[in-house]
Amino acid sequence: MSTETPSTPLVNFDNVALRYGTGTESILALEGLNLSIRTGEFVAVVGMSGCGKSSLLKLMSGLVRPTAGSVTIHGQEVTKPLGIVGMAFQNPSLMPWRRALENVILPLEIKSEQRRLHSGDAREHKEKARELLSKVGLAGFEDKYPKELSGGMKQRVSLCRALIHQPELLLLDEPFGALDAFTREELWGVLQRLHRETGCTVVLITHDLTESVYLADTVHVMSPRPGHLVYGAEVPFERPRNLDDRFNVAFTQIVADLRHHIAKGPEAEAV
Amino acid sequence: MNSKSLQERLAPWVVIIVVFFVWEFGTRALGLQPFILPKPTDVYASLIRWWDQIQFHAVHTLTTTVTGFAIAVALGITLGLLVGYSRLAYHALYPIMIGFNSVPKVALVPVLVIWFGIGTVPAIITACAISFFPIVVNVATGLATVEPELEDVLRSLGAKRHDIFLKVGLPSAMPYFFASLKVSVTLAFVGTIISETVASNRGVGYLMIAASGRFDVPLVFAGLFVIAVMGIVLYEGFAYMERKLTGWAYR
Ligand SMILES: Nc1ncnc2c1ncn2[C@@H]1O[C@H](COP(=O)(O)OP(=O)(O)O)[C@@H](O)[C@H]1O
Ligand SMILES: [Mg+2]
Repeated sequence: MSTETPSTPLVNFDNVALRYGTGTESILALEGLNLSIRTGEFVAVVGMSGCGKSSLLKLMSGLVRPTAGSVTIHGQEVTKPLGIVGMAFQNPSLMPWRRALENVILPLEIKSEQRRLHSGDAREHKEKARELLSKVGLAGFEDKYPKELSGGMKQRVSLCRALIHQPELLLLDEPFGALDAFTREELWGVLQRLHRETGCTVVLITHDLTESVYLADTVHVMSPRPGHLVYGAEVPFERPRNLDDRFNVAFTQIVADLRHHIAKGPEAEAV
Repeated sequence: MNSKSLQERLAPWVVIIVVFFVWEFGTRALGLQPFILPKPTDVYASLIRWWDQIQFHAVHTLTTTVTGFAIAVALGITLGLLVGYSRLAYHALYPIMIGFNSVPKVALVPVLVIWFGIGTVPAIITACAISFFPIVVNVATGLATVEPELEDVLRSLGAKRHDIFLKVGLPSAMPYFFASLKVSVTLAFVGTIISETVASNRGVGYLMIAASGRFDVPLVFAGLFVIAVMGIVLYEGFAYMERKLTGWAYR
């Protein structure tokens, strides 16, 4: 089942269930989840807190295995971390003892250690990281420690770390959730540009419907636990999008529509 | 960045001077005899008079303490890494370590004397026994502070458990480790002195017991003073090392 045709989705969830723990105290986080993501697609997933959004990302990255159903990437079942993903979270989770540049390099370091290559390519790594940092507007901040950077800057560094190894799949778990509105809007621009330039596939988890519609090609709504997808909206607007698009009627209509489907619990859905 | 204001620099000296001042004139006003509570000037006089002996015993106490402390550091790191790395080791060893830590170490000394005789060895062991536990707890805690998200980032790249341990666990444990050193080293002094007062013929602890036997209370206080100064110096030494090596952890 590993033959890949142009129509093979990059990521496919087939009737996936995920249960944490065993016995009476176990939690069924996901059930009956179907999702397919095209190469290069920008997908956003929205849903109530605790509905299993982060779990969805963990399944894609191979950090957890589904209890039932299958998760495939390039048509291959994901059984362990594949090293093709980059991840960033609400918490920038940088290493405070490393400077910005050294934080960004981390994935390259791990990958070359796996290939038993050592410091030989350290210089090249640094060059790459420097370039990426300047792309997100952090030229001149390479040698700063995380404690010397603002929240928005740390999040930029975190994005760079997620992208430095040119992952096929960028997984973002509420990356802008803790930032103020202006910084968030700025970073939307940064992310949009990085997506266009790298062409990587993005899965963005967010609580912010405007953010999801502004950035994504497809927005999926997840049901409360056990999570599965209950609604999907295609976002037809041209790229690059700009901040004023948010106030278009068509845009607000999509947001309202999504809001409506989140409000509907699993009970209402059956009616 | 981390520079203290002049006020902050002077404050501890002001406090010390005020304490000595109140002590000096308080004891004078109350007319207390030196064998009840000596004045700071009595203590100073005693310090000068017995300087050679004090120096001899202080050096002995210091080497004993540092030896015991060095063993405690080695033991503390080993146990801390073990307990921090392996959940099984944690569950197996923690209760017994807490039990051991709860035992008053002075109760240990007579047993040590039976085994090793009166002298330096029981003091080294007591210093070690009293000071290793904070190191274990801090190293283990430091290892456990790895952010789950950072761990996910590393694991998603295919890093194995020991890679994460080396790349993230150890560095995050460093501030905790150094913070524990400065506390532990002062505890090590306590251990040494306890043992010296109970069973030794050398060291500041012994000197103080011998002096109090002669009701030479000013000399007892001179001994306490010397211990306090050595404690402060070692504490500050480790605090300095901590700031130099793990400055990234402090705002
Ligand atoms: N490692 C875990 N062990 C047990 N339960 C978990 C674990 N991770 C998540 N859960 C539970 O699974 C559910 C979904 O969690 P999560 O995927 O983090 O949701 P979301 O990201 O949408 O808030 C929650 O109820 C959460 O408590
Ligand atoms: Mg979550």
